Formats: sequence, structure tokens, C-alpha cells
Amino acid sequence: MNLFVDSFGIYTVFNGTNGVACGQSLRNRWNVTNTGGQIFVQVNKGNRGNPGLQIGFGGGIGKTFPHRSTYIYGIRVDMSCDSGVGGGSEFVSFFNNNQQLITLKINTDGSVLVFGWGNSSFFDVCASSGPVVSAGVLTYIDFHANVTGLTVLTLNSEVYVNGTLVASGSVVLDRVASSLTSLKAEFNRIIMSSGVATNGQCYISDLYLNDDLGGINDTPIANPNIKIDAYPLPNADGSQLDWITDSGTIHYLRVNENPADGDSSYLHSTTNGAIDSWGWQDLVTLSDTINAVQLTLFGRTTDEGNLGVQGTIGNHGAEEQTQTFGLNNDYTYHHQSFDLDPNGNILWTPPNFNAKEFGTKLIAV
Amino acid sequence: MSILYDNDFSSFTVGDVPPYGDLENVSVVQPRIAATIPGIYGDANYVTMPSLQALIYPHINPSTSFPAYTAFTLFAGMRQGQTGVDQEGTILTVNSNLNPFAGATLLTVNINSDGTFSAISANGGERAVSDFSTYQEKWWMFQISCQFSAFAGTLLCTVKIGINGVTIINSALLSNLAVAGIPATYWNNLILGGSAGGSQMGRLTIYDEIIDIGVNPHPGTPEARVSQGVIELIRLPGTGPTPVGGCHIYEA
Repeated sequence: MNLFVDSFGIYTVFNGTNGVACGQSLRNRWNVTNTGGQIFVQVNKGNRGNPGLQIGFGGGIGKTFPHRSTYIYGIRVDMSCDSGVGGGSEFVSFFNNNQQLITLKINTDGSVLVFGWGNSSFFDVCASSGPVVSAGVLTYIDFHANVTGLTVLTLNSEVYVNGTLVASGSVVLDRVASSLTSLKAEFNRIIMSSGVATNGQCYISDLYLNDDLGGINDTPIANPNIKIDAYPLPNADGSQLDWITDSGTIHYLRVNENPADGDSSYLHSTTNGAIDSWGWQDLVTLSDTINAVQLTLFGRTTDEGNLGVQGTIGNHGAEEQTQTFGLNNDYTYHHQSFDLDPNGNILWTPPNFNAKEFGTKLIAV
Repeated sequence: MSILYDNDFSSFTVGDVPPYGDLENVSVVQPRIAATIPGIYGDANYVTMPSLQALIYPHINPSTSFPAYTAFTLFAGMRQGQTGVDQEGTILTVNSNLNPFAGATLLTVNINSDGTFSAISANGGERAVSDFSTYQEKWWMFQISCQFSAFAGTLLCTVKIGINGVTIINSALLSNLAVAGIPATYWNNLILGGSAGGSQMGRLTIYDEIIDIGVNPHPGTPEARVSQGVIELIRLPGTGPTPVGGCHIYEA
């Protein structure tokens, strides 16, 4: 089941002087950005001319997800530093809250090392490879990790580079599940660091996170041709327009700016059940496979009292909904991914995607 | 239902230290009224909270003579932490100073390093951890409620936590605290704390009974706003023909 994707196409892009705004934009969807190194969204640093997330030496960014015993994580990375490819420092780590359990790093020669974090040893090797990543070259990495056990924790991992399995293995930690914050063998948090030494950085794009539940999107995608794009531009009003524009009469124009502009243009409502739906850009390549579709809304509420929103998928009278997201006083992103087209629980196809309206529904929670 | 405490701190002056009515200071670093950043829901004032136990209700010196209750619901407008600072801290302890429980903590609610929440029953009893996490430096409306009861001779905490009206924890947590010899399992004081890096509290209302998550007994006139809609998808390229047309960004 897909838990999250990030195209890095919706944040404020760093222009040399707007670092604060860029960081705030990221923190509307990511939990923590370490201030020890530079973290910016940079234009053209992802694949296909997309923006990419730059993490400089000493920087890190994290996000929490549902507790799961298995995470399957994919990212496209362009990494280099004075030492070589990586600097041998931590690159991607899976945590149980604040307890680090497993880490992927890329060494100076481009080899991959996965290690676990025991009580008495911090470098319990789980899997490793020879040189497989080149400096300064966009490379797709799938990192599949699983943690099990009660009295001892066992880690299993696989690493795919550009679709090829390059490392796999397991390791037993001298650590018990009851020592973890959730008291169970499971992950709930990912932190990405630069993975490099000084005078270096990595650029990240095309990010996905799956678990192993649900029977779909439960294995590594392991395909370097994967594309995770943002389509943040509704381009037409839909079939139901219950919300109110802050200005003008055209609804989709209030929610189609990129990056988001908050209270500069928005739709608003106080009516429980009110739906506003919008037409979306069409996919042009009708033979593509769509693994998952994630709908994200950027919303807030203005006063105390419980208001939430749901994302809607489908046309008037046939909408399916996301979970309910409670709105807080500050704007934040609320997202949910769908492995299947919820209108019929069938695999997504470009024609079906193109025919859909997507929107928002107000819920008095 | 009755309100035990209700305050948006608007009647105080910037720089004021506790007491704020029946909310008193328990910290070496005193909380203070501030108005440096925009408050919650357009309020001017809020309380700055140190990363310690900070404020106690109803009095700095808990007493067996204070009223006691079997349940509570707390609404708090909170803004947690600083960017890049580990958030971990205890934001609430619910305590009993009734004999023979002098100083016993019945329930602890922590915010964890990653912004998730833990509820832990007395004496290291059972624990529930949320999937949901808050983002730092944003205002959130917390709702925490608990019904205390006895189960098989020990304290049982039936706790619910909601954020912005959505349930994130709903668990019955058995404690390691025996309840034999007392007439009931009561709380008679609670202590609020800040997360690491400090917190701000904009509004606080405490009730003496359970209020379901999603119910706000004294709402304002809220309006929902949506400023952006985004679709992101995972695609694997096919081999068929590529139709011409459409308006796309970030597709190559």
C-alpha cells in the first residue's frame, strides 16, 4: 500500500535569498528539518527538469508515517562530494520515534552499506554491495526494510539500484521491542540526511513510501523509469461548486497556484457537506501504468470549533472521499494516496484518471 | 457538564507571570504572557511555556481538600517546539493527592521527538502511541480526555486524544497502580508542560467530564479554507503511442 509520494514540485523553490520561505514551505508537509546544513528545493535538480530537494552536509529532513513493520522506500538521488560519491555518513534511516533502527549509507566509492542500531553496537551490518552509485549521476534507489521480533529485533533489508538488486541480508540486534517507544517492532519515521562529507550535497526527487499491506504496492517498484510528478493545477470548474471564492467567480483559480499562496487566494465554506470539485490536467501518455494517485489539500480553519475536510474523487453524486483531516489554525498539507481508483476499486488507468474530478468536502467533525 | 477552567489569556498584559486565575506556576523558568507571534485564531496573547513542567491546576500546593473528579476533558491551543529542536517533552500529567495517593501520577501524555503523542498510565503501565504527528511552529487544538476507573484492582485509564477534532489515540490503558483501599480513582490536579524547545499555549479549557472527540462545547465561528489542490502520482511509462496535446508541468 502506498503511504506517501513526494514530487518536490509543490514547494517554494529556493532562489538564492528566500531560504526561510523555502524551509517553511517544506515544513507544511515534513515534520522536521535540521538546521545543521542547507535544505532547499532547487529548480531543475530532480529528474526530467523537476525540482529536487537539496540536502547539504549536516542537513536532515524527517517525516512520520503509520507504524509498520515494513517500509519500502524509493528515491532518485544525485549525490557527490569532495570525498567521492557519498561521504559514508547516514543517508536514509528508519526510526521507531526517536530510536534509530536501520540506516542506509553510500560510501565514497559508491558502494552501499545497510546497518542496524543495536544497544551495544551501532554498526551491525545488514547488507552491503560493491560500487554501484556514481557521483553526480541521477540514480534510483529502492530501500526495503523489515523489523520483527519481541525479545530480540531482527532486521531484513534489500537495496535496488536502478532496478537491480545489489544488496540484501539480515542482522539480529541486541535490542528488545519493549525498549522502543511504541513497544513493538515497527517503524514510524524516516529521516533523510545528506549522506555526504564536506563540500557536497545530494539532490532527491521521485520519492515514494509503501508498506507491505493490502496486496498492491507492497513490493519494491525497482524500476528506474518511475515518474512521480505533480499536477498541481486544476484547470476547470467541476460539476459541484458549493464553496465560496475569496475573489472572483471562477473556483479553480483560487486553488491552482503553485506554490500555495495561503490566504492570498482560497475557497471557503462553513457548510457541513459542502463540496467543491475541479477538473484537472489530463495525462497525455495513455499507455502508462499508474501505481498510485495522491490527493493533497492545503487548508486551515479560522476559529475554534472542529472543522475538517475530505478530498473527493469522482464527479457529482459519485464521489469517493479520503479520510477526514482536521484543520488547524495554520495552513498545512493534508494528503492521502490511493492504490486503486476508489470508484470501483480498480487499477488506475490514464483515461479513468483523466475523466475524474477531484475536490474538497467540508466535514463538521 | 461544568467548566473548571477557561482562559484565552486576553485579560493579561505581556510579561505577566502566573497565576493566571487557578493556573499557577511550578517551573523555575516561569511561563509568561507574550504577543510576539500571531496567536491562535487571531488572538493577541498566549503563554510561553518552558520545556519543563510549567503550570499546575488548581494550585501550586496540591491538597487532599481540593475537589476530585473521575474524568476530565482538556482543550488546549498549543504551538509546539522550534525547528530543528527535538520536541520530546511531557505536556500533561494528571495527578491525585488524595490519601493514600499523595503525589501519585495517574496519566502522562508526552509529545515524542517526532511530534507523535504517547499516553502512559500510572507507574509505567500500558502505553498508546499515535500515528499522527504535529508539525513544529504551528498552532494546533489539542483535546485530551480520560475516564478513570478500577479494573481487577488496578487503575484503568480510558484515554482519548484528538487533534483539531480528529481522534489520534483511543485506548484503555491498564496501569500498575493498585486501587485497593480507596473509595474511587480520582484526580485533583494536573500539570501542563512544554515540549523541548519550548511551546506556546493560546487557549485552555478544562471540563470535569468526558467530551467526545469532535465535540467542542464552546466553538467560535470557524470557516474552512482551502488554498491549493495537488495531485501527485506514481507512473511507469508505457510503450504505446503518446497523444499530442494537454497542458502539463513536470512531465517529460
